[in-house]
Amino acid sequence: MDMLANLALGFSTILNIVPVELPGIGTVPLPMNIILCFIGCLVGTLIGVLPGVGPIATITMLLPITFQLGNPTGALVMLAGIYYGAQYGGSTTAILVNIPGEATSVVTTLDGHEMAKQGRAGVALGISAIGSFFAGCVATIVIAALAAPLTRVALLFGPAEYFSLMVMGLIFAVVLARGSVAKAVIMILVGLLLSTIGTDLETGQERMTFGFGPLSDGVDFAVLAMGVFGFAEVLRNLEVSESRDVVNKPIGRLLPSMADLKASAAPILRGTGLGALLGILPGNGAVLGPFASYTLEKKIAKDPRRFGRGAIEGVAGPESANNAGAQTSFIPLLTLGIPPNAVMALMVGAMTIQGIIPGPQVMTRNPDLFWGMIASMWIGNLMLLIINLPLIGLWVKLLKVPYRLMFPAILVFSCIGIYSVNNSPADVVFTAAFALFGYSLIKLGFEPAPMLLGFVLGKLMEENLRRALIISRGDMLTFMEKPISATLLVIAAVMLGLALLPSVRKSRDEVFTE
Amino acid sequence: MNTPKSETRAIPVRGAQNLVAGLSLIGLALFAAWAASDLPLGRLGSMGPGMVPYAIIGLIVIFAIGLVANGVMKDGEGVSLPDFSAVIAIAAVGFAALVAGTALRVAGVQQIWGYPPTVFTFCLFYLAVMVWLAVQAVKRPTWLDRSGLRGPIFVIGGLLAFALTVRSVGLVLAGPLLAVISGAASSETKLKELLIFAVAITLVCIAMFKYALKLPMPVLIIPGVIYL
Repeated sequence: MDMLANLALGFSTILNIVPVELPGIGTVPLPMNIILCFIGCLVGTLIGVLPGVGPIATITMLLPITFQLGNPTGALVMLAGIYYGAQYGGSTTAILVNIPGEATSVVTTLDGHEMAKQGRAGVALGISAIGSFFAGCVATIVIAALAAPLTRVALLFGPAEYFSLMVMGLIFAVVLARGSVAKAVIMILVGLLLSTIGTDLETGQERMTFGFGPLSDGVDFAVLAMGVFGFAEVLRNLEVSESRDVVNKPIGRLLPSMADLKASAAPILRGTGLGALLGILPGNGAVLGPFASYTLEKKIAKDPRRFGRGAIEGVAGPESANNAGAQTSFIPLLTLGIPPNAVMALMVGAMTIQGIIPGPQVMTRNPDLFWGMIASMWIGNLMLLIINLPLIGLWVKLLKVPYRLMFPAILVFSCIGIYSVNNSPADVVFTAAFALFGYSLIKLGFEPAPMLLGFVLGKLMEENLRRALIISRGDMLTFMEKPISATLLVIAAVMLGLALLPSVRKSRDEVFTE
Repeated sequence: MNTPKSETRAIPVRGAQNLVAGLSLIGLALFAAWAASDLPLGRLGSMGPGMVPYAIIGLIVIFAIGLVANGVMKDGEGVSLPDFSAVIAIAAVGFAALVAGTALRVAGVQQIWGYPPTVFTFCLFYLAVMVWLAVQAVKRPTWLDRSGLRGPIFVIGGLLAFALTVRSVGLVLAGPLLAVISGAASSETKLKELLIFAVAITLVCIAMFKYALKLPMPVLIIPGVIYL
């Protein structure tokens, strides 16, 4: 029962009580990690609930603040809390305003918003919270059970296997990205190219820096993310004329009736299973969960016509899948050190700044951080249940804040954050430049999320590629001769081939445009 | 994307967006290749620092050519000039500032408030123009709305104003400046509301970042008089 012992270690890390000095009161013993998790969930929901601000933008905005926390466990627990909060906030906007915060809550708008129009917004929010909590519990156990064995597998990986695994991850991300496959590949390549700027790790030579001091450490992660996701997003939103469809109907009671619960129980179970399974994929599998769950529920329903007209199964299933996937997508990051999507790429950025290099060694070297983070997932889900349901009135009020006031606040907040990372006004200017860059990319029809993934994986990929080729003395065939590496590359090639097939391509477009 | 179809001055190419995207990428790749031209390639067995960047640049060029071909041969999204006017305008201003800055550094002037005197006057002038433009734009629709410059110019302008003032004067000026200038980016903004909001949000941020989180950032600096 290693797993139980490990989880116990995790919970004891989270519940750890440390003396904190409060101004005016003196030293008080406080469970700091729990408080940080709570603050993360609260602030994450608070910002994530603003229409047009998805989880990526929310995390980017709050990232610099977590840098200020000296303790890595606290910072990561808080970030994870922010992520769940933002995710739940996105579902809230999907139900109440019909604006999905990100791809995974698109499906929720179909039936969730219909329910809200029928005056059942409360029930929709309630079942979404309950489903998410259940999915969170299951996903936590899945992670705890899989973490140790997967980490052992990861330790068998040499540089060639690592490189192939990352290639596969990037190809999955391309296949699952919205829009054209070629454009997604290009975004990843641009991200990889950006990652090569700075000092070369092996020779110490400066690459593409023009002898400009601040660039010799490479492009700052927070600056890139804030510019391309935070500020370019603001520019994009400014052009969309504001027509918010906030439901005027009362929210209604939050607790679902027995009949509702009975109808949702099976969809929640199925959604959790699908979401957890798809979330583990090294590409961005988590986006598929809600779509798969919705399609499944519609297919096995006695009366499929109810879907799209406020069927509670259409909220319960996808919302559970959404949360399960959001959590199990931590598995590739925690065990292999490979972020499967842009949100996890942000987590890598945060870990690196705290001095932790993600990978299989985290579990052995920082067991309290590793298991603490896993325990915090469950606690974060519990907190969401506790925070969200009573505060629903506040979230509804926030939904009515007009964008003309929201974005200056977002900008001021983010600017102070980005300035505070290095106390450097130049960083703010760089961020502005990346904002223009991101804005042009959007205008040229590119979706910038894969770029961040490429940027984060770039250094690691180059390092492993170079190492693998040194070992094989320059023989490229080494990637096909090692069985694990060859399998991974073949899977990647098959996936890419499938995505380019006309028939699959058509259905893929349908999934993403629905 | 969200380009309004009716107003676009479409270039007579079948898929202008892909064409422009491909060409810009080729430009980016050429620029990167030029920047990396001093890096030794090495061999596959022992790669030099230039190998991986060049490989990536090569792949980008291949895909970019594909995009160009796609843009020429297949129907696709169009491109409207106002979408990019702001980027071009700001890039031009930035380039001019860079050239001016290099010239001033050669001249070796002393500093005012941490800046060379000419740069300082430039900053004052820049801030005055930005604030004036913002106030104008808030009152009624101007040429800025039609050219597509409004959003980017005020958001980027606000960010620059923040960067210029946060270290020299402090948050008390930088916060409201950013909020007011960038606030003008939305056509729905009302001046009075924006001013009150700008002050309020700054006060909240000062309380939170400076006093609650204890970040080392200047709130108000008047040289020789006060340093908060």
